[in-house]
Amino acid sequence: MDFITDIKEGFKRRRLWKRLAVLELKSRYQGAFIGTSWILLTLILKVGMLSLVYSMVLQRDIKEYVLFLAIGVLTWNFISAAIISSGMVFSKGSSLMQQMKLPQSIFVFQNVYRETLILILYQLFAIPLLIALKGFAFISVLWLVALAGFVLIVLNAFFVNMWLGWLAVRYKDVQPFLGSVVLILFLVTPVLWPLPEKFNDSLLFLLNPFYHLLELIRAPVLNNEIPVLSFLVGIGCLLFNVVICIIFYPRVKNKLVLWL
Amino acid sequence: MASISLNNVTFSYQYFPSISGGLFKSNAGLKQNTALSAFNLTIKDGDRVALLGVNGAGKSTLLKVIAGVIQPESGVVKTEGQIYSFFGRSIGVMPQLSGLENLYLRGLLLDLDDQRIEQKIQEIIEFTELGHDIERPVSTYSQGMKARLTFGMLMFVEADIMLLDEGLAAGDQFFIEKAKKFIDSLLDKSKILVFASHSNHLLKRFCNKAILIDKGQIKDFGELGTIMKRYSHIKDTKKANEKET
Repeated sequence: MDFITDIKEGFKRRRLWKRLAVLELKSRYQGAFIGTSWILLTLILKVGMLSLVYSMVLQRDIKEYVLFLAIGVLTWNFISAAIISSGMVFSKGSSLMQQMKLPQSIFVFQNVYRETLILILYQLFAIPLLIALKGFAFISVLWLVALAGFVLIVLNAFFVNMWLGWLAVRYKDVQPFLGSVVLILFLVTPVLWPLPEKFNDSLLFLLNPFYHLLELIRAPVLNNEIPVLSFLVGIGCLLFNVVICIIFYPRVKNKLVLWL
Repeated sequence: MASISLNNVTFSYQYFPSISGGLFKSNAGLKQNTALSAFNLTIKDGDRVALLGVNGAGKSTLLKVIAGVIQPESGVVKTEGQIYSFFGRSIGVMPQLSGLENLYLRGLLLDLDDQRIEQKIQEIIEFTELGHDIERPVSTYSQGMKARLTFGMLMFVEADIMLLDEGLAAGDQFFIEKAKKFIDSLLDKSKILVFASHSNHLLKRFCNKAILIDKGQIKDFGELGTIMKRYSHIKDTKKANEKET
């Protein structure tokens, strides 16, 4: 099976991975009083607390800042979950993969689908918040650009999940490492703080792909801009990830089950 | 038509001797253990084959290679017909989910459509006599109920080739009788069964042929009775040798 067939075959099994993803989400909150509402509640708590503190620290208008923070944090949550969870993608599917011949991509689909469901759920908080603070007039066609941005992020997550997943199964060092890397990335990427204007051209930010991924959403929604450069960077990342997957798939496909 | 043919198949596991590896060399001390070496085998329609061999002889590896779960290092594996593989007693069962959920997932895993799954699930509930317990999480099941559920999962079979590795846990005697009838009816449709088990009782009930495997090589292939005698003879001499040393 080559890489493209694996993805095609995996996609065909969508009833399976959708089910697995939903069951995984449900079982995560099994026995909890408010169940999956925790997903939204933790986001609201996070955004609420952070915007109270950081609007003071950064001396920003809380109304503007809370929107900036909410959109940044929810996008970042998706990105970080996509990276961290890739360490587990294949080991979670191990009992099924040892049982019968299945396309590897099933488990990547499952993982990305689960995170995407959470991302969609987040919008139940973000969109009412935007409308509540800015009014209906704030809704613009450019939000579709943000939607395209989300699609680009999700596609990137799919391929990163795949190759990071392989790497994590092959080298046990990778998984513990992912958590700390994501934390460092969070601190150096403008998630909590807007980029200060005098550093607009700083390579430190322009070369950070995560900054661009966040701008894909923030620029169209908050500033009514189409972030052309960020789209180019996002597409570049996607190409890079796809190429990595295509190069390494033939070397990995037969060995993955044995590494698990 | 269902058939399995293995031509000169070799496979070895790689492993680390206990805890090793580390600084700069993730491959340090990697060792190999040959599980199948130059293996040749042909299984045809209607063969219900028992896999005999001591622990580590290569029975499970053989099943995994036939199922396509692992790819051989060299040699060719050809199978005709749809395969249903069923390895281990609890593998693939998620204990936090209900029996029903587990059955449904199994149906999805086999890529059956919803209508077929619903129909099969009804049949399975009736056959296994699990009744309303099917809605309870599997973690609350007794051993016997788990065995019934596992057997129920087997009933999804739509395949021409069935591969079982210690799949049938005992359950109670009555249920075993029922299960035997079911498997008989299943295999009447000229399908292939390859069954690895240490229970002579089960093997005798379900199989008509046997393969004797030792150290990754095929020692003998023929009628169940003859091979079983040879196998127990080998085991006895081994035991005797161990006693002497």
